[in-house]
Amino acid sequence: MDKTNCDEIYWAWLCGIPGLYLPHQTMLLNRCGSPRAVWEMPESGLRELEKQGVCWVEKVRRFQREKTPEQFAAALAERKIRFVSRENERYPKRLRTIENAPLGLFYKGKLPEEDRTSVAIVGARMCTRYGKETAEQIARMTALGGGQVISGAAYGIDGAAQMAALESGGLSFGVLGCGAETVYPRGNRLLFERLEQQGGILSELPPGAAPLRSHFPVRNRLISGLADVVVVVEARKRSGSLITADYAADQNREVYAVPGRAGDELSEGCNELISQGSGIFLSVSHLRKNIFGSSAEEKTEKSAGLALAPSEKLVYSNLGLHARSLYELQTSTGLPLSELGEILLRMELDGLARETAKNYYAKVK
Amino acid sequence: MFASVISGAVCGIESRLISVEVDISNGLPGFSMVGYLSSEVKEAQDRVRAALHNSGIHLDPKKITVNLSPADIRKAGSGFDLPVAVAMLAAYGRIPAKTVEGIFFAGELSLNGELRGIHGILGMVGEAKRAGCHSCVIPAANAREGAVIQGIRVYGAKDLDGTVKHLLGEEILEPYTINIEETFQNGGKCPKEDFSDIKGQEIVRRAAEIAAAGRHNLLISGPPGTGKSMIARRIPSILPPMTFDESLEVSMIHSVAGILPEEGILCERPFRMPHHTVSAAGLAGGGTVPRPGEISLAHRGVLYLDELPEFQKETLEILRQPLEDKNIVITRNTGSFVFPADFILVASRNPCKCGYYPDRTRCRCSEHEVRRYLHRISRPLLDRIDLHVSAEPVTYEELQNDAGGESSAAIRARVLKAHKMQTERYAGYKIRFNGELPAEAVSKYCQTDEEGRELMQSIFTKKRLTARTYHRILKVARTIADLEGEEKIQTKHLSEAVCYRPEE
Repeated sequence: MDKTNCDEIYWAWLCGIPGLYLPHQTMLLNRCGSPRAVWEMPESGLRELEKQGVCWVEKVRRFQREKTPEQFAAALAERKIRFVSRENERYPKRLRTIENAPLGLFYKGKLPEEDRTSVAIVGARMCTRYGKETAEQIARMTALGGGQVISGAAYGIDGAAQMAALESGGLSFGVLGCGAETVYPRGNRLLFERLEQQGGILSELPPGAAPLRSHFPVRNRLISGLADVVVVVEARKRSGSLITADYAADQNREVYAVPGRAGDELSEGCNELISQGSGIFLSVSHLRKNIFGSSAEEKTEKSAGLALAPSEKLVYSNLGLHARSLYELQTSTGLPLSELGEILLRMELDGLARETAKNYYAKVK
Repeated sequence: MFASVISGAVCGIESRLISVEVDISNGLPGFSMVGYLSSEVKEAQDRVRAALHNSGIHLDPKKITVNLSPADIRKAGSGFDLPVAVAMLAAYGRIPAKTVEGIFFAGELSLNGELRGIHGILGMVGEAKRAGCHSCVIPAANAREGAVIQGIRVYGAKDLDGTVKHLLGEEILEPYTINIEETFQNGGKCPKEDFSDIKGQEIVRRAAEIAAAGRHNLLISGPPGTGKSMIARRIPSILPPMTFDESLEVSMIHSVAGILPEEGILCERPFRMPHHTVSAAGLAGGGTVPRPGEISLAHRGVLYLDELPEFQKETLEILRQPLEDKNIVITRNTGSFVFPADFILVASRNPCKCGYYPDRTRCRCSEHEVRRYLHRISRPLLDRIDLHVSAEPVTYEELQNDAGGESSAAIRARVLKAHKMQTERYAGYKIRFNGELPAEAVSKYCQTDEEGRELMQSIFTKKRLTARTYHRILKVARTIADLEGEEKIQTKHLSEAVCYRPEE
């Protein structure tokens, strides 16, 4: 725990009361004046609250009996979970400006860095390959440009973007809708492990909080709050990503949406955002310019095509930034499988193409 | 009075000759049957008694003892009715004992004396011939099947009365003969499903060719309606035609199962497609007296498991050992039986429960559901499948294209060439095909040129291959090279083989 601030353990204790959320915490704080006073609140004070019809007093009473602030701090340390309160100077500055900023954050790993550009990349869990690849490209661009990626560590767009950022050596932070030590969804265990080492896992909820449905929309205000720019990659009409975008607008963050074809269910939300005036994602380089300014170096892709044999050129021209299946490539190039496979493999080894999933190939930029 | 005739019993897929002995003695009248019999064999006494009576044969009440020897083999099936009846008549002296010598009898009797067909005739007649019988009397329904065995006279009898008249020389039956050469030739020729019916799907089609050429197992993933089953069904048509010996061997198994076609011999390679609700015993073979399962019925042919993840997990795990050993040993309290099971496994699966993954505009499964669906198939089983391909939805243009693809005959010609190369390469070694190559022999038989070695090294690191996948790519590349008649594996063969590797 932070030694400079001796109140920190009381803040942690207040935020650690199971089942209490920000409004309850604020109410307690307003009544008692300081977190320490909440911990020291006598039985008479609690009973008075009860008389006023506050139904969650029992939760405070039980936690008072269960753990002292010192014990709670030790329990956190044991689980390698750290805590930072609103009073602490390490508390993310970006969050100070938003409405309903949490009293404190539990986290594993690090906190987002203040002087790095923060890009939140959010989108559907059930995404298309197009969405996933776009998210990965944006994340890679962010990481290489020296930014950090904020997201929800979920399946689909969120996880893909964060993994891509980590794999390009960048920082990434996951904001959870459950306790910071809970790996949810379980299938993303690898992502969680890497986030802890190469970024952080953040939550305003105390350890042990379950991933309840109601936690996630509230959590989204932190994703947009921690970011400078929010990019929505794929979102259905009624999607959590749109909630994030709404928060972002309220918090004066820049919002970009990746457009999709009209009629694609998975793009309806994004297209709606664009129609409401959010920024449009045109290309990775366009976004890079908007985020990092024109100074960011841009690799030339022209030189690549020069030294290729005719059939290789044919294959290369059929490749796109989004992966195409071997079957599609075969149909469009008309080459026999053995030749096509050989060309693709050579281009992959030469760094011109990459295999995104088995038998799906894309151009390398 | 005592008499005995020769009959047969099926043990596993082999047949054993059984001597049916009948003794007639004075004393309290009765009928007892001994000799390790199953209940359907014991029931023979009632059928025989009624059949004799209804054929107009009346016998004195005596003490009748029937023994089926050797007594340590479990006898099952209804084929003992006829031999018991004939042996009784001989013991009563109604038929001279001499006339039944050297004749094999088998058949089920109905109560009015008619003879009904039974299973396993082919193997029994073969065994009778080996033991030196000069003729056999079997139900007319099985005559064609029995006649496949050359060098023994086969009489197809309609009823008990006809059999007795034949034995007494009153009304001699015509021996049933078929032109085996012609039957075999015609059977191989008869019109069948052809690869030219398949539109598009070049990759799957090519994978099928490689599977046939190197006897690799094949897994096809793809959404519904992309022709996965159509392609699988046509794989037997590109495998080399069966030799007569192979054909006889396979027919023997099908005869035991009672599913032999009318010609009496199976001329085309079997294609078995059990439904995914098949039980473990149905797939592997089993029962108190084990009968061949689907994997043995697919011997020398193709076993196609449609919707692989829908099969019971325990049922699928059974496949692991037969895929290695090419046979299955089934042990029951009646003994241990070895059933051959040398087949190409072709399996298909949808990419997810609804079938449309990764097309997210149509697929409604969550990531978790997709993963769970694919993980139903165990890794050890997937490890035994060399070729993993996906079938893509067919486009309208492909559907409209009447030309179709290459015919089965053209593909078969290449497959035959590849088989020849493998036969030469593996002469004196324990295996015959690339698909059977054990890991330790891969480096010896799958030699690549210098360039190929470098490529393989870069693929290994770039694609993060496991040792298992590495070996599989080499084996498949070996077959691709064989299809082109190349002794050394080249980079193009390797690059193509990489496309068929399993998804990690």
